[in-house]
Parts: sequence; structure tokens; C-alpha cells
Amino acid sequence: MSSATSDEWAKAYLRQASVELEASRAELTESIRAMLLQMVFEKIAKAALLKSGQWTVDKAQTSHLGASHMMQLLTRSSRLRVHLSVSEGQLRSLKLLIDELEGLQPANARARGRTTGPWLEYPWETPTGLVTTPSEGLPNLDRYGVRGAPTVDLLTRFAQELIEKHDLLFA
Amino acid sequence: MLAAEHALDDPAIQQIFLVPHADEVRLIEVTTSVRPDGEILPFRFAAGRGVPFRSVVIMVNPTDWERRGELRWPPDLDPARADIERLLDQRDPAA
Repeated sequence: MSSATSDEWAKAYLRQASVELEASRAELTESIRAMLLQMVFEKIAKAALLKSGQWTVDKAQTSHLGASHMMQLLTRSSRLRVHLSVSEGQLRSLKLLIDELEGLQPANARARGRTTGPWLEYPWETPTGLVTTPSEGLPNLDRYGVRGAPTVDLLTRFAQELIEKHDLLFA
Repeated sequence: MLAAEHALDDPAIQQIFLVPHADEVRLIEVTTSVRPDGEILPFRFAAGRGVPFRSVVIMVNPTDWERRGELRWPPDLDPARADIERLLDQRDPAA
């Protein structure tokens, strides 16, 4: 049983998201950048869920969901969009990208019925029987892994904005 | 008012339920806009223009709503509570 408050846990998740976002800006293998960006949005969402006081640390440490729901709420609400610098169209693109990243998290992929990759972090076996790794076989890295790619820049800037405006967006 | 706004924002909402609370608006929204992942994810938002109370929103896919008794809800937001109130029902009667 934790003696820390849910707000303290939320702030810690946000601090870790910030560190992982900073790491994603470095010269990295592209699949590692994709994994870091998935982890960043997962932690930003978890910080919001914990802040609600209705979610437990136990859930935060075992679930990998939340980012897609957070994006659905941000995308649909003009009350929330007004706080953000991105356009409605960019938000819709970001939601698709973040949904895709959430689905590439191995536990989420398995929960959704996929028994093999491609996914982030772990190797997988291809239909031809070859065991491959994210760094060798993760597709669509131009969307969320290539440094300087427009969508990677958009994801990075948006994550930074969510971290900075977290208290404005989530109570 | 908030529920009506959300129904306009998300045409995929089928039902909205109010979980009564003294200090904030707590809504459970049944919508196909989220996947049936079986997890209950509550987000809280500050009071704002036209909404003088904080609000908590949980979005649930209709498939998860059908099996809501099997899911792990926060005790304060459990739809099994007797005082839950349906604010909106726009399910397709032909479905």
C-alpha cells in the first residue's frame, strides 16, 4: 500500500515521460525512438489517470493503455483544444499515430489478438520462420522513428506541450 | 449540458450515464470511439467556461459495457451503484 498521494505519483510519471522524451531526441536506432515515443504518451496518459484519483498505482504499473483514450478526449473537445497549439487536423493525425504506437506495444498487441509482431521492444517470428527484431523489421518507421521526419517532429513537439500543459488540461 | 455537448462532439456515443457526486460531474459514456480493451480509464478535467464543476469522464466501448459486471471499476464510479442515472440514449433501435 503506497503512502504517497495520487498527485505525487502522477507528477513522477510525468517527470519520467519528460526524461524519455528527452532521450528520444538523441541520435538513436529508429525503432528505439518509436518505443520511447510510445512510452512517453503512455506515461503522459497515466499521469492524467492517476491525477483523477480514480485510478490505482497498481493499474499504472501493469496496464499499457490510456494514450488512445486521452487522444480521443483531446481531439473531440473544443474546450480542451483551445489550450493546444496544434490544429484540429494535426490532432486527428496525432491520434492515428498514437493509436498505432499503442497497438505496437507487445502486451496491447497480444490483448488485441495478435500473437506475433511486428511490435516494439521484443523480437518476433515472421511468417517465413525467421526471428527478427524491431530494429530489423519494424515497419512504418518514417512515421514514428526517423529523426527529423515531419510526424516524428509533430509527435515530439506535441508530447512536450502535453507535459508542459498537463495541469491545464487534466485536473 | 456537458453530456449534450459530448454527444455532439462524439457522434459515436450511444449512451451517457451520470454517477451522482456532490462536487463534480461524473459521466460514463458508451461509445464506439474507443476499443473494447476491458479497462476503465477515468480522466478528470478542470471546471471551465460554461461548466462550473470539475468533470470525470470514462469512455467505454458498447461490448465492454455489456460485460461491465466483469470489469474492474473504481468503487466511486461503479455502474452497479443504484443511483446511476441515464442522461442520454441514442442506441439504434434496429440494432
